[in-house]
Amino acid sequence: MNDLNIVIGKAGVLLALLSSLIGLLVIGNSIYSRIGKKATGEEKPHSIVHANVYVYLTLAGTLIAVGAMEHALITHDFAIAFVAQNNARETPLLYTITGLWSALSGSILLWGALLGIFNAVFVYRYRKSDSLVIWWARIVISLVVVFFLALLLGPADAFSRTAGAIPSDGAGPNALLQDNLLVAIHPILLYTGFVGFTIPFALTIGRLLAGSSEKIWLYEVRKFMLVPWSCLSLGIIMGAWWSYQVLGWGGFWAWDPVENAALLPWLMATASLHSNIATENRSMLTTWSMSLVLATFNLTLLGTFLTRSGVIESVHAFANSGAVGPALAGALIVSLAASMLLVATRGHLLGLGNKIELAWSRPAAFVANNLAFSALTLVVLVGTTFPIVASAFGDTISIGRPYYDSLSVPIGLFILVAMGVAPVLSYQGANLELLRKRLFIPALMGSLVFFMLVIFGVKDLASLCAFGLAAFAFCVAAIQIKASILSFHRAKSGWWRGLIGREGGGMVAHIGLIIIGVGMVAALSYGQRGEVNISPGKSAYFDGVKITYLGTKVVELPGKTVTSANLEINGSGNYGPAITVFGNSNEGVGTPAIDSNLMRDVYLTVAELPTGANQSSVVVGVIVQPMVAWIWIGGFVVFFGGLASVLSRKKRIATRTDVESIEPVCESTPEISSNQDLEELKR
Amino acid sequence: MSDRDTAVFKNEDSGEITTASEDLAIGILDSSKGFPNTDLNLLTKKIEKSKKSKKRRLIAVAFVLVAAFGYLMYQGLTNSIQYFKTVDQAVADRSSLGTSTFRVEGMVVDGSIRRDGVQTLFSISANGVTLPIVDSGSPPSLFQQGIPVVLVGHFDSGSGPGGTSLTFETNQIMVKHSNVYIAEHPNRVKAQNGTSR
Repeated sequence: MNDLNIVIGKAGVLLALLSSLIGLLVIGNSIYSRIGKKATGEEKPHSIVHANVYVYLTLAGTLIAVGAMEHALITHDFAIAFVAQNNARETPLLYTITGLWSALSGSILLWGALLGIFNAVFVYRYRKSDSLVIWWARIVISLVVVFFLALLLGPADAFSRTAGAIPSDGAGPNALLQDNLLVAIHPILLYTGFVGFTIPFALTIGRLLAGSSEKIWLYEVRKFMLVPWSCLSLGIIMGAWWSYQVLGWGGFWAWDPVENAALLPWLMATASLHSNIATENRSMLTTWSMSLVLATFNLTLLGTFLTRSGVIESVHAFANSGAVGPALAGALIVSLAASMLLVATRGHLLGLGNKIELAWSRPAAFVANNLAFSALTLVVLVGTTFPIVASAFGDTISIGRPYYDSLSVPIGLFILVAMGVAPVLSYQGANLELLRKRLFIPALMGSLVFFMLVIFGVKDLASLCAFGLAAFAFCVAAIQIKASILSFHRAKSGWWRGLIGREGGGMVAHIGLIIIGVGMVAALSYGQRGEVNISPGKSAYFDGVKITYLGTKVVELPGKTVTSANLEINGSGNYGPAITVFGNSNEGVGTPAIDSNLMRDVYLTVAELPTGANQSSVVVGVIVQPMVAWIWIGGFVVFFGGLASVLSRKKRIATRTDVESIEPVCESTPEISSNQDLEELKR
Repeated sequence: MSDRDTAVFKNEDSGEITTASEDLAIGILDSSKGFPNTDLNLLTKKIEKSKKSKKRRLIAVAFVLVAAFGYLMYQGLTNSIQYFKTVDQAVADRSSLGTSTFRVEGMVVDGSIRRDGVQTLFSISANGVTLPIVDSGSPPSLFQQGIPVVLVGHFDSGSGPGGTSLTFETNQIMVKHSNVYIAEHPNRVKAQNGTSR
């Protein structure tokens, strides 16, 4: 009984590894014989249905391993070292479950299971496909699966036995990881994002190896890109929210290497989603688009390497985990070299692409977008990796906020401009009259916001521009959505279709991003922070907020001891920022209390508990920041916008094809936009 | 000429075509090898020439943009580099650090925390070297004695090496997250109970 979890868990990992290895051999053999037959001219496409079962077996194996680990955590099986280190008897059930991803080897186990799910979905979708692109893609995915499973058997063994005597109680998860519900959500979202980028990467490598220029794969790449992109977007924002709610510093983004590691693939993926549209519709930027997809995956490997190898000094804790770091570095080098080699030698097989000659056209706007996102990627990449370079020369350094802020602000403003102008540009190039007509109201709103803020006394030029441009871009997106909803409504095919598909979902995502941007600029530029010293029963004012101190309360719970200050904001509510000491930990964790509404957040922390009797005063840290809540709301909007773009608008196309024949696979974007152009010009 | 070539050619020229008359445009597209009419040949040459100068202008603009961007990045980097030292390293490097801003890591000395108006005074130590700190910001709620912290700040000016005095001024205290699972970093400070954080 004692070793049951270990045995089942290891068996699960082994099953997964063996089946993915067999699957790899089967597909490899099929490709080999097919290429051989092609050479002798007797190629006959055949299916590899018999290889599918190994993918499902791999998934089953990883799920069994995850199940065994969860069972071990819930039953507090401290014979497993991982459980002993990340669980304690008094840990609440929720944080017992999330214990799976509170340390490295468990995270890699979860990683393997998520990859197994993505792989199974992909294979199920193409279970009967005889396309060489799919076959090669499956080889690539299997290699990635094998790599992570091998990590689980070797350097990151989650099921290794506790050395020596089995302890009666475990160490428990890090105190910070058992304080907030978001710990259950944001790592899963981030991992889903990271893992999911394997599929578009594999598809693109498959296209390169098979030398296929068929357009259909571009749509598949986009769909498999959008799902992880949406999850990563929300995951980054939820991570920021977690940090805001838990860490007691009142901030949400610190350009910390861990944050940057998640941001880098997001930036690349965002660029690729845009350039892909130009490639789909006009065969432009083909090599560039595929390079971005490949770069996205390589950046996820880099990010994993940076956060998991301990090469960077960060405020976040890093696990310096023996051979995992070098293994990840090796994988990154192999993948990067293969990507570059394939693009260089076989990139031309995917079509050379048309040139972009029109300065004020949609494709030119995509180029502008891509340049901005690539520049931002470069800025973050250099800032994050520079300390590694410097450490080679013996200096331990870090790159401070001013570097990131000074460069990301102008690039961010440029992105807002592009975001406003791009949706109204057409593929045919600028028609100045049309452009003026479409941008008049947004520009008016933007300048209105700008001058209103000037009148209200806002002096900082960067934030004035940010708010003005945000209003401009928001109006453009809103008008696009309105027009799209109306046209579907008129066609009686469901108004909600105006919110889905690439155009609708894309505009929703734009609006989400604008909301995030506005929230961040407002909070960062107009936040106030300070401390107030309050005696019991008295009040203090900070930035127009009245804070009343009623007394302290000490609660002893089985898992923790919480000492909280009982506070009121503006004479109401019950806010209890606290210092919590968890079970076996000997150190306190501050828990902020937040009064949040759409206009502003009041963020309270205990800076100093009353000493001795309850009569002495408490020192409360107060941070008042406007519009912080918008950041989280925007995160959800981006998430749903991204997922909505995966959905197809096919129904409308079906009704349209009655009148004019449109290639069903192309979402009729150019046709629609040119028709809209005409309609608008007629008016 | 294959279908594909025509398509590319059309697209390449579409920018110019809009300025020429419709018939002319069709003429250009139909035969790229030259026209019997010399006027037309002249026109195509003109178009070719303007295209070349356009390309040159594009390259120049791109060059200026890349150079400006590179300069900004260089400036940003050199202005934002913060050295990261443990207390003993920082004290040893006082003359070269001067009053520039850097990060220093050490453990808050037990019983050293005092409040003086808006300032918090305490000491941190690493490898047997102790450094007095003046904090003018607000310490995070996790801040307490006996824990490793990272401070952003600089040496006070004075008459010591590098024009400094042996006091460190900070307004940003970062408490290192403690993690059971975190392995030892060579520069990391040990906590009292022997666990590395």
